Amino acid sequence: MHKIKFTSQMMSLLFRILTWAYPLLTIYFILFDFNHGALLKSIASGLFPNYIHDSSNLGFIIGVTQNVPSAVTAASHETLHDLSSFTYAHRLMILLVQLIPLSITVLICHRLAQLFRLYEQGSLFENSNIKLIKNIGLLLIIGELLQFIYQPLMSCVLTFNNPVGERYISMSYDSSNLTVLLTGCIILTASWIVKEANQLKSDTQLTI
Amino acid sequence: MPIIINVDVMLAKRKCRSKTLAEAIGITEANLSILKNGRAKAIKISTLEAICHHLQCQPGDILVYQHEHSVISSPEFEIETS
Repeated sequence: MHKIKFTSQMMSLLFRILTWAYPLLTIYFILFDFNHGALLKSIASGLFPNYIHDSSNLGFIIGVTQNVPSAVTAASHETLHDLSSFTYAHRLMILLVQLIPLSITVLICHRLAQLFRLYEQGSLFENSNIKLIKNIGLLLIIGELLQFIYQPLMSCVLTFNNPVGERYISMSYDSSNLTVLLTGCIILTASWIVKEANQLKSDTQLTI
Repeated sequence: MPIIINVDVMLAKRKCRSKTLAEAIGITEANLSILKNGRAKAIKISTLEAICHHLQCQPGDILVYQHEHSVISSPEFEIETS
């Protein structure tokens, strides 16, 4: 039990830090990273992998696409211009769109921090734990469904300053998205099973 | 819950303490408290038999069904044989 509490304490601390650090870093790198525009390149290379040659990947890519739309293959290689020269207003719009997946990630980190704090306090199979696990499963599914909104919006925002004929709206769904969806469904099922098991245990304990 | 458990009433009538009854029937005081508070989900026949034997009463003195106005439904209370 002591090992569980210690590990849970570390994980809780990690996810609490991530809950704040991840959005703050994302905001910083999108709005203020003038020299390299590294995060912007990351996001753009995720949506247009064939056309960003200098993608310094900081691990912030959300939704790496495998299928580039056919319209893009016919376009010039100047589709996405110098990302580090985006104006503040443009960067703010990109940030607003990035808030869609970012909010899901932050919520998941927050739920995980709460879950591990409960484990740290010694409650392993309580209703509150089950509810948190169910929420995490739901958030994973919602996050993937929001990709249908996020990807077209982001590709539009990234390219709307381009000349006419070089503006794109792209979207793709591949095996990694399906994997996350499936994971969310499995987590939901597991939380339901644990809830039923908890109910059985409660009934047995309250049999005098 | 439609089934009311009147163990505390019978304890008062027989002037018996909870601790004594719990020891006599072989359950903990905590479990007896669960029974008295109506939080029990099920009671074993053997437990009911032991309570009736110690308190010199009938099961109907311990378990009372109180009809609810809104819904007539069968109670979830189960009686298990041991």
